[in-house]
Amino acid sequence: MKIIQLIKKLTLIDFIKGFIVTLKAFFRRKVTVQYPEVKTPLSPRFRGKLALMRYDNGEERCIACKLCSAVCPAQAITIESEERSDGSRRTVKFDIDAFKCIYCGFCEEACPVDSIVETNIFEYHMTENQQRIQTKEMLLATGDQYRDQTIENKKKDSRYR
Amino acid sequence: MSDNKKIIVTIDGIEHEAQPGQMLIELTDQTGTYVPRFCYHEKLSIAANCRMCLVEVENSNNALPACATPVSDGMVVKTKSKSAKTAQESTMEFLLINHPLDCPICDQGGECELQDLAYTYGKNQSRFDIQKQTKKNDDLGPLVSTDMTRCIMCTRCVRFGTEIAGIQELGTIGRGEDSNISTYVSQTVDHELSGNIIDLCPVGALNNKPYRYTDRTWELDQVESISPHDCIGTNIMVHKKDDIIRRIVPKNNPDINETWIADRDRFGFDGIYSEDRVSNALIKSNNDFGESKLSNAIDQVVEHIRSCKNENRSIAVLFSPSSSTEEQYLLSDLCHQLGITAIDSRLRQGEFINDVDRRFTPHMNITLSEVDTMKNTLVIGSDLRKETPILAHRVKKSADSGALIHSINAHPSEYHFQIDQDLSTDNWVNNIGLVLKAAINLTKNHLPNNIADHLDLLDEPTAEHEKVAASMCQDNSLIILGLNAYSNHKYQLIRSYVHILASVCKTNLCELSEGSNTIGASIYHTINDGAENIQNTSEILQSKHDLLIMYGFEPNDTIYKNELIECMKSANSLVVFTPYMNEHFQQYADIVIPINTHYESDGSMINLELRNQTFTHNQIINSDQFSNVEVLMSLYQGMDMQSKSIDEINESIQTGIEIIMNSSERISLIPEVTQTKPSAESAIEFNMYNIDNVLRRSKPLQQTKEGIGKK
Repeated sequence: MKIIQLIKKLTLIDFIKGFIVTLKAFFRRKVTVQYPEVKTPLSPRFRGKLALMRYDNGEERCIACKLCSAVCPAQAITIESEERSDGSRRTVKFDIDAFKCIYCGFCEEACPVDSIVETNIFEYHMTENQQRIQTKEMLLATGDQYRDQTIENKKKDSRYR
Repeated sequence: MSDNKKIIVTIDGIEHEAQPGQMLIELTDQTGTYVPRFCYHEKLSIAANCRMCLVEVENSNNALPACATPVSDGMVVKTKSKSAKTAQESTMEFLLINHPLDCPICDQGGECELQDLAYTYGKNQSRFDIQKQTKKNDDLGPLVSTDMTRCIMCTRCVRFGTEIAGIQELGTIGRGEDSNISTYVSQTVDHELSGNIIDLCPVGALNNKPYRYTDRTWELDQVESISPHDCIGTNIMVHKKDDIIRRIVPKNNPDINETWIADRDRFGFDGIYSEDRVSNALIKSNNDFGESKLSNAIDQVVEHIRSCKNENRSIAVLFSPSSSTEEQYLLSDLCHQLGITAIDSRLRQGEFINDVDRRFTPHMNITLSEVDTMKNTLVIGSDLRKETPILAHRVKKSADSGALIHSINAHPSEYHFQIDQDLSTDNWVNNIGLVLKAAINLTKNHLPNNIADHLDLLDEPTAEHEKVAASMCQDNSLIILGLNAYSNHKYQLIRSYVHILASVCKTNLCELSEGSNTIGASIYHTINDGAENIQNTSEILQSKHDLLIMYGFEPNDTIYKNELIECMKSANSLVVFTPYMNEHFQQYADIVIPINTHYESDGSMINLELRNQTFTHNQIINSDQFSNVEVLMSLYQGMDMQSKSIDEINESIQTGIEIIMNSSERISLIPEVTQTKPSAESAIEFNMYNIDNVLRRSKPLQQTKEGIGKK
């Protein structure tokens, strides 16, 4: 045994083996990307920033049924509702605490009118603590901004549901 | 029902004893087997029109409705067999054909009987793909919202109208597919118990209008409580979210209110969110109120009391008959220790005789549930339906089972049951005397001269009086003395008539009292000596005081409004403990101390059948976070006096209740005619939504016909 070890030591075989591994990796396809200049592809099922959607005529979808806030495991959603002047049931307050949200997607599953959705936006930040509360206006604005993209994603995923 | 003869019914393989004549569903409810139902309600008649309670009965070709099938000996019932399941499933499928799928926006969602049963007994898939029906919504007024498309035609609300309310405000129009629940000539629902159709409706067709679209049931916390708006002590459940009361629903108590509550118990709480709530202590300087800390204001009050005490100037205390017994006890004890004799809570009593009032606390000597079994009832000086809707319902129940109801009042009052003899004339007090005279003639009782002399002055009783007297002299009779008599300037005369009539005919007696806790207020004087010199409201208002303390009420709560305002004006300093600000306080008060309303405080109240009930709201609205008891305790501390602890108070309250309960004595003298001034006006319009400061500020109630004041 000692003789074999001695030969290995002298010929630096282990070293050479290691370099061969490195050399192989050198020619393999790269998996890392130069984020943020380059981005990896996302699944249409990706669960990112929450948004509230509207109907095609611009009417907000949310009917204040509060099922999302009931199902939310992190209790991140706070809703207050009232009867709007036209007699329909609407929210007066729809706050999501972005720090509490765990992006589980239960709210989206619970929503009977497909109002609350998860976009695939994951890069967003806030500079002050208070900004973690996303109000109804902010959520609707997010929904308007990423409307086409979100609809596209939901369409792609729909055949698996 | 023939007793002793029990029959055996087998339900799901288990044998049960049943009484002949019982309906199957009553037996299954007793034995704990649940049979689904929509139209069946234990307090209503049987309609058997929803067909949800179909069960399989052996030897019967079809499934039978459990609510309309009487039990018979040897019956074998299967509630969970395949045929029963299929029947229930099919019924559910038919019910859901026209029921909209709007559970997410329906307020009933989460507490809906249809929703629950559709989960348990329904099919997963709908086979119906034609257009669903829609129906017209009627405006039922400010209390009940309608979404008639959701209606499943169980007709509970219609039967409530005919059987409980006694006035059919809702009815079924049309047949089959076109049938519809509506008011016949687009009227609002104005009955004082109408809010109960909200609870009765198994779906979301009739709902709570002020609560509409605000919360879901699973968000609410529930607190048990007592309604503070009448002397019945109705049990309620207060539903809160984020410590704000969202709605009130009945708590089932078969001894008091069964499953019903009056509309003012249900919607009255809205008044506590009125804009004129006082949240900071206010001290007036140069005719302007300045906000101050509560402790500073209390220090000032203590100073006022002290200086008045030292210079022997007069102090008067008036407090609300609806405040909790603990508060009333502490106030009375404070005055007792300070030697203040001018203290009273009877703001609506029309005439006072201190000696009589102290010995005979108005209460009833039977329980509320015994009212159902009375055979003859005489209602004296009362708009019973407005004053105590729950007691009126009890009287209606007795009338429905054949009792004779007579009425003597200043004006014919509206009833939802047949009145046998109505002796309501302008000379109604005389009529009571004549009934008494007729009763004495009938029973040939020997009476003290005082009464005999008095009665000799009256005319001879007519046949009607004799009829009433004869019916009173039978067993199971009851006399109810109402608030209209209570506020009358001849109250003492009426009261002694009634007491003597009750002892002559050996009837039961029920005296209504103002506010929710007049008995609690009288407890202190019942158990403590030295109450001989205590002045009454009338005496207090006649004289000028250096310091007037008003606790928990406002001038509109008393029938002596003008006199009280005069008294407030003439007082050197006026200290008000109030939850609300109003123009009179703004003008005359020197120190305003915010207190909590009933719906925020803890304590106990004694209802007219002497039942002591506690409530715990445990919530504090004023900015200094003082509970009412703490405010009063701090007065004691300021005066360097020792207050009793809550436990000691509760013990004394218990003794007081026992004393009142054990005294079966009745007034046996006709009072001398006394002219007490100020005397109340003879006829006072009793507005059931204007009797205390919370109701007066409840927006939904004030929008009703009664609230607006039109008939």
